[in-house]
Amino acid sequence: MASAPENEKNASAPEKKTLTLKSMINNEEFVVDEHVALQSVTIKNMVDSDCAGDVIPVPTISGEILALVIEYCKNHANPSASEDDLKKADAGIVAKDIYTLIDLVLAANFLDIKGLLEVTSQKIADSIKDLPHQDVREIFGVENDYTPEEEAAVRAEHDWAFEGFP
Amino acid sequence: MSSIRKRKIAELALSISRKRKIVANATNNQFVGLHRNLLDNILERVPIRDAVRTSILSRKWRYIWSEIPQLVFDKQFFEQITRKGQLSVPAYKFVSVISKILLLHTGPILKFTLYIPNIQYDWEVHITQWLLFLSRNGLKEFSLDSSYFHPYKVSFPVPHCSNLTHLKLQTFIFKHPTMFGTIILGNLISLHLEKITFHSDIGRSVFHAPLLESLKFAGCTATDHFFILAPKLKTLSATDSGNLQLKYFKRSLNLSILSIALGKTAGNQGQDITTKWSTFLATVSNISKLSFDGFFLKLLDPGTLIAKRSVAFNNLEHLELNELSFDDLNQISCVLWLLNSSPNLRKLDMKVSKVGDNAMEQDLSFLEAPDCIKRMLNQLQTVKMTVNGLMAELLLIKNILACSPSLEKILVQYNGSVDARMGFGISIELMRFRRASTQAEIVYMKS
Repeated sequence: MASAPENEKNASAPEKKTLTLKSMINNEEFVVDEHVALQSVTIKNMVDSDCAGDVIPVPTISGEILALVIEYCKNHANPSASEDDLKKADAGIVAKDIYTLIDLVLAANFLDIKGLLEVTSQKIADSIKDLPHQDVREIFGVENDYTPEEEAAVRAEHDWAFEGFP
Repeated sequence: MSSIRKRKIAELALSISRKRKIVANATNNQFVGLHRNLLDNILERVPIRDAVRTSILSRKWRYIWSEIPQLVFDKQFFEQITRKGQLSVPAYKFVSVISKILLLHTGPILKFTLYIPNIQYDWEVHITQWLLFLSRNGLKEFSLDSSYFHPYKVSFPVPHCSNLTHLKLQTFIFKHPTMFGTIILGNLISLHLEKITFHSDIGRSVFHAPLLESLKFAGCTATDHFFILAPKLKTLSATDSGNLQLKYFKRSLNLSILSIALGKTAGNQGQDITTKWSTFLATVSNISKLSFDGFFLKLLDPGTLIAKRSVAFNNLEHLELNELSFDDLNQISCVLWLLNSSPNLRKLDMKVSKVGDNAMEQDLSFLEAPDCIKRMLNQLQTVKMTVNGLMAELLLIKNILACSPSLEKILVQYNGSVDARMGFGISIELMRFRRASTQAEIVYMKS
């Protein structure tokens, strides 16, 4: 932390500052423009409180997911991107399998990037909406602790919702 | 594979929930998979039927769905639950499922969206009951989308929903049979009214909406019976809704977005439209975006407008004009008046309506006059325009190019009715025009 460049902060020249984000899962490193990375409230708080060294370690997020997060932040840091462009780009980022999406939603939550959290949650919602509940159980890692009788009772309680489902 | 993934997810979730332990209370940490706040986030976005189905996942999941703060019973929901079998009374099932969900729900319901199918039923009774229930549960956003054959006659539920911030109503007769005087919509921020008929009774009450920021009318009739005071209004939009009562909006000094599209309702306007509108436009000096359609411009008298020196849109950055006809001199004059009144314009979008073969070219000498646009458009950066290939359109482009030194891009799109030869002719003309901006890129393509 001692190397926090104080004089650089005061320098008036708008030199582009970069941050290095490092995935602690597979040690992959990403060099990112500061204004791009600052869309993460978590990183912003670290930088603001001078807790960020040259390399910011990102625990629990793989390089693969971190790359997606950075792609999202880059798109949204571009001031000339139109709303339509962003929508298309977002759709591309979340066009992934459900387990990648769950990793992504965890990453968005940890890094506190509201927009990414929203689009990923929406995509997960869209992906599970017509699935049989057995599949939803597996996706969310839920263990069924109902007895068969209880399960039948819950089902009967909402029979209208289960019409057409196994 | 999937069980490895599953374990991985659980591990990740665990490590994150460990980090969040300081803020999360014990009951929120009971889930093996995703953290509760993330699950809520996802469940809020799942259609209500699928959310209810999650009650069967496990004991812990049984009532998670019941805390969703927004309930959407839209057309899709109606079709989903009435699809199976030949129901003799689909509306009965629809109503009873909604009532059941409300009964099982816990916690606040902030947003409620309701579709009414085109089926004869005593909707009023049920909606009145639901609204009463919802008003006790903190309802803030209410949206009613009705396709009921005879517009559902609603007595506006103001007394019950004083907390409402967003209200959207579709296909209604808007009347207020019992209360007169001023009705206060104390928390309303946005009010969107579609295909509403305002009953003449409503004219006896004035709606006072001190916080209202967005007011939109679409396809509404008899809007002159509707009186609303909205001092904080920022966006006013009226599509296919003639005869707006403008005098109340004069006090809306913060109005920044104004959009008027008369479309086919143009004929419903009174005689004094120019006076009415020019007086009004003179009062809304903070406007930053204006959007008009040709039907509206057609009704304005440019002579009177030009005489009104008081009108200047100094903050106007974006001007959007739709369905313009360049064979109508009145509209061209109004376009010029708008350009001359908006010295700080940055963005200009113009769309022309398709013309028939009998489009008449007019006497356009005024478009060739050197002071046609009287002031330089120093801020203008982007222009989008569709053309039919009329001389008037090209002359206007010529004038704009000559008067906009900061222009970065102009996109000219020719309509499908323009054939290849004519399209080429237009491009030759475009190349000849002088440009005040050395940076201006001209993009020419088929629309």
